[in-house]
Amino acid sequence: MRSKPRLLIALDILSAVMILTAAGLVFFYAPVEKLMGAVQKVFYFHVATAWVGMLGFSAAALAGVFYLREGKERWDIVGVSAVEISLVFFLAAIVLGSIWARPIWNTWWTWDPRLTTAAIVELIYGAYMLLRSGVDDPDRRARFSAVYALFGFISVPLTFISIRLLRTIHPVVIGSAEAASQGGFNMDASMQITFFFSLAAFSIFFADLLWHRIRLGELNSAVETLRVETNQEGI
Amino acid sequence: MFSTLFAPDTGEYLIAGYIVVTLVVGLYITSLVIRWKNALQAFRLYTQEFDGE
Repeated sequence: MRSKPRLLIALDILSAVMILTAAGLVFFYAPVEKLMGAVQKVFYFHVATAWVGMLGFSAAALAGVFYLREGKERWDIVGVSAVEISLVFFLAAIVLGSIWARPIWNTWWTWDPRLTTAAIVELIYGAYMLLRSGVDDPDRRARFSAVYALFGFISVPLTFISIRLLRTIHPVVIGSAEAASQGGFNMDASMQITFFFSLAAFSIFFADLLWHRIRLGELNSAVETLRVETNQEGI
Repeated sequence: MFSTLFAPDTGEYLIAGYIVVTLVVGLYITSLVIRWKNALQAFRLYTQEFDGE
């Protein structure tokens, strides 16, 4: 097995530094919003984790297209890796949103269009992981996953635009908000710097984790091949 | 009335939020490390078997 590439080590360090800097900006640089208080700062990582979620689901759909075109196992590994990471980050985004909603909306959860579509996205990709584990044949599993990732991706832009098309209480920070939205605010310069830096930091962190997860997938694949060969030798 | 308004104390929610993110991401990274070590161990075991033949 190849040793860890230097570029990956550099990416590890860069993402750690950027995430810590983003946290520093959130806690020590971004101002406290007057109406919501400190909880508004949850927004920076809430949006960034949701962004990583959507980035990964998009990458999985793209990997699905490449798998269906080329049939290479590597694209299947990329797809499942992206979905796995995005599931984790999207869950974090939903939980963060819920924590923000408690003092602002006076409830942990409401069946608002954005919250509902986000929950559906999480369930769709959770089902992707479960269904994958139910298919033994690697080729069938990869083909099924590629098609599923393509259809599942429809839910991603729907979730993104739900707060812009439907009547919702979820705030829209960038762009015009629905009149019924509660908890919106205007970003000043320091808020924008923190926000965009957090997005960049999490994007790099995602690339770093994806690379690690792909390496794990390739190692697992090599082990599986060796296991089959060993079993055949035994017969 | 408005002059008496001040930012509400919602710091506990902020701390809770960032603890949750740290825990969720930390657990995922731990799972990656454990799975990598297990897979590497299995890989070495199989390659040793092949070398021994």
